[in-house]
Amino acid sequence: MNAWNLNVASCWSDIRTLIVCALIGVSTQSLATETVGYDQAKLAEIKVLLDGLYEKGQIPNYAVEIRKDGEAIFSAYRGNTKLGGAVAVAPDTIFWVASMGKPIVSSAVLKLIEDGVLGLEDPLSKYFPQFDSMVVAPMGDLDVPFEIAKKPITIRNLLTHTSGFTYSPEVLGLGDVAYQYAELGVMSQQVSLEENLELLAQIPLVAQPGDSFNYSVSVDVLGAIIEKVTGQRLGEYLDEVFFKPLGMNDTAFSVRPEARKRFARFYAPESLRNPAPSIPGSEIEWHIVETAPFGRPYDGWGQVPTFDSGGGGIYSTAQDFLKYAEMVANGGELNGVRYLSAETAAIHFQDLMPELGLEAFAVAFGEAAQYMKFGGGFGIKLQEDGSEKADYYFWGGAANTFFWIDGQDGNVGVFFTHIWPPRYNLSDQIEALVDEARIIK
Amino acid sequence: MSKRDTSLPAFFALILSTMMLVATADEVAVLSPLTQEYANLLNPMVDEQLIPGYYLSVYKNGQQIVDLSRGFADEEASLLPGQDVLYFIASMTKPIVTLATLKLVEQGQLNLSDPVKQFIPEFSNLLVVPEGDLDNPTEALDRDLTIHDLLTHTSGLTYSQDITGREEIAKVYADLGLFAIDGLAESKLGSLEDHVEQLVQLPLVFQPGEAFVYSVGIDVVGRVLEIVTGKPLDIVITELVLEPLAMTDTHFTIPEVKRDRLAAMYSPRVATYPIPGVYRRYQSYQNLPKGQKNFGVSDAGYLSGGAGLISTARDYAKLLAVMSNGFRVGQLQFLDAQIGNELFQNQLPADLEDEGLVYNFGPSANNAGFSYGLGIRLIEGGNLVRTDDHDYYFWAGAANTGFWIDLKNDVYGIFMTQHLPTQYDRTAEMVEIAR
Repeated sequence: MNAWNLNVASCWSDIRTLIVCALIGVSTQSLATETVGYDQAKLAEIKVLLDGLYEKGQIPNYAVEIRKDGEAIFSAYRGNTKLGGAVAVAPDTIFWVASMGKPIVSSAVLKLIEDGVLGLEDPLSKYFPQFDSMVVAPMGDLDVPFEIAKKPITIRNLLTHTSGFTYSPEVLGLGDVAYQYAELGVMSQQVSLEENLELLAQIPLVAQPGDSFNYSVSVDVLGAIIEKVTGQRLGEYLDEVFFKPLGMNDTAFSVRPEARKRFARFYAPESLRNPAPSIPGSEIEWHIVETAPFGRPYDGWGQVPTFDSGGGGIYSTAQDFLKYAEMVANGGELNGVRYLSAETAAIHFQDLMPELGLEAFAVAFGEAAQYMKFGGGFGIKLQEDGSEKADYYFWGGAANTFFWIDGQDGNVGVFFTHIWPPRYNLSDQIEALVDEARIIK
Repeated sequence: MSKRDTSLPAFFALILSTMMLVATADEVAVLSPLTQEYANLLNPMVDEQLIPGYYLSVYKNGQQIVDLSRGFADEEASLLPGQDVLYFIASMTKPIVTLATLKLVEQGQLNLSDPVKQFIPEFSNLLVVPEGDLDNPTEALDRDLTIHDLLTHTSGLTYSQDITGREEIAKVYADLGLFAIDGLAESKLGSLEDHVEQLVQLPLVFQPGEAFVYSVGIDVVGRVLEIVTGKPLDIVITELVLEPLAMTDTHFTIPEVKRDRLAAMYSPRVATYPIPGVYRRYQSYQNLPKGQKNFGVSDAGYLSGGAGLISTARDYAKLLAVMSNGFRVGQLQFLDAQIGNELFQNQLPADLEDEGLVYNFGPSANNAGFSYGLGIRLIEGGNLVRTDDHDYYFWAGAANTGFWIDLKNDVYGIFMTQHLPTQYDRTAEMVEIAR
């Protein structure tokens, strides 16, 4: 019996874990596969959608691929890593996938839970005692009376962004507290991960732990926990358990110098201040200009970081990321190698905070909150027919990269381009086209 | 410390109001086919939540033929867009100051060929740093700057990098807060006079007449008007333009009693995490002093002839009417037609051909010219010298407002929303629809 089952056995001691255990029971069934095929004419509409943006000069390139049962059911790659130059975008083009590292780090945490090294209900303060008594500034507002945190921040909270942590304003952090993150440089690369945690512990939470979804530095904190319990740098641990054995050779916290020629540049819409150049020989009238995300120019990206940011520091390729997604979709196994138990893999797709209602997601997701739940590092998009069934499991990165796992038949997809700030969240539309194309027996 | 509007009740009210809006839109009376075409073009921007709302007014032969709106001008206050809603029109201030200048020309108080130094002596001592690059050797002025140079953005002045400036000097403008947009609410440099005093200490980025560089030139013109008339700029434009044209809702600072008609300012909201489906792409503009939802309510700014005015579509239509109507208001000649018609002639140096605007506005701004305060869009393969080849005249404000004048078809239109910076300019398509 593995450690995850031990955790399951210990469920009965606590009413909150009981809910989770019940859920595990419900959904360890693998993703149903009655699909017999896909209407290729319908899938071709994906290319029409993306070509429209590309030919209007709004995206520099695109990489899109959808796989099922180890085979590509659709793929299209177009454009170059640099407008009018460098190399053609392909399955091995390197993108900064940013927050798409969050699900990967979450998978590593779930694996460590399976191994009995961590517990889902472990308080953060067990590993970093400075978080044992936190202050809460509701909605991040420093002008209203502070509260004392009523519950400890747990690993479950960190996996689901319900810790009460937030981000700086440029990543849509909440209220005045977000400005404190910016002023103190929380999770900047100026100092080590442990020093960043010291800064973080001094700032109020924006909500009571467990009460609401606030997109946050939580996964960087999970990275710190992994480093603490494994004694390894986060990148080394992920290499060992996922990247190397899965053959994700271009997935890392930096871009190898010899791979750099495959690393796509970043673009932003043109503006009055910064009009688009005309590219000699290009048949396209471009409306985008090269840009420097967070003020950091292209050459500064992909360099070895001070610390491995689990929340935003990963680079990857379409072919690499698809391997990770296929492994999770396939119940923790790929090509005969088991990475996670089926029970553990299923946790990615569980609603880990079932007691949370619409209002818990409203600030972050707006009207989409009515279709949102959050699992083990994955967003859960519910079907819009009110059935509470999952449409797909997903996440995305700040430079316009997305992936998803279909809730019905387990197909997996990626859509990457490099637009900063992100503007074309087309994964929802692309996934819907795949759903429409599905032919069920 | 600035704040985001994140209160939950307000948020749900917003969701609810958006839903109600969709419901009412389904029930509204049938639009005219023309209005429906505009709605088809513009409504998706609101429905996809790129902007909270808009107002569009189009006139043909002097009659309003489109009066279209959707969404909100201020979501929190549930203010609907309309032709009497007050919007920050930014650079659409420029044509008003230009008309005031032409009025003074008509009155013989000013010539467009007058050197600026005649009014502001420090303009005789300006230096030029070619291309605004501080590594280039400094040059003396080849010739004096004139009022004409200021009105046509060929003076060698530039704008702050926050606006359109692209030179190293433009960074200095930005660092100083020189003619900054946010300075309209809270000026770092004091009054208009103080701004000009600071400006003359900086070098030009080109020799006068050498290039089109979108600039603070019209702000300097505003100061010249003050000096010529001995009155502050708000009084000058009121007497010369606003009163004669009955533009009663155009102000630098909005009177207290009109503030319930003021739209709120918005800016892009960028979700760096994936949100399924359509989501809100805008948020309240963050850089205004606490408690101010838009420009035009503060008295801590400066009188900006380049960008300072708040106006309504109804008011601005009166300005476009006079320009479209031989410069007559009813039976009265507002401005000598010969002087006025200079607004419909390309005023850029001939050697810039139809490429002058490309320097600031990129390759898509080719095939265009510039008069005084108005851009000139050419027909395909047209020549700027031939007014018959002028397709339409246009300009726009930094907060995504814009207008066009289509003389040949006797059409003009005004589009209002409040999104800083401009991200959704549909002028070319709006011009076509009315034809």
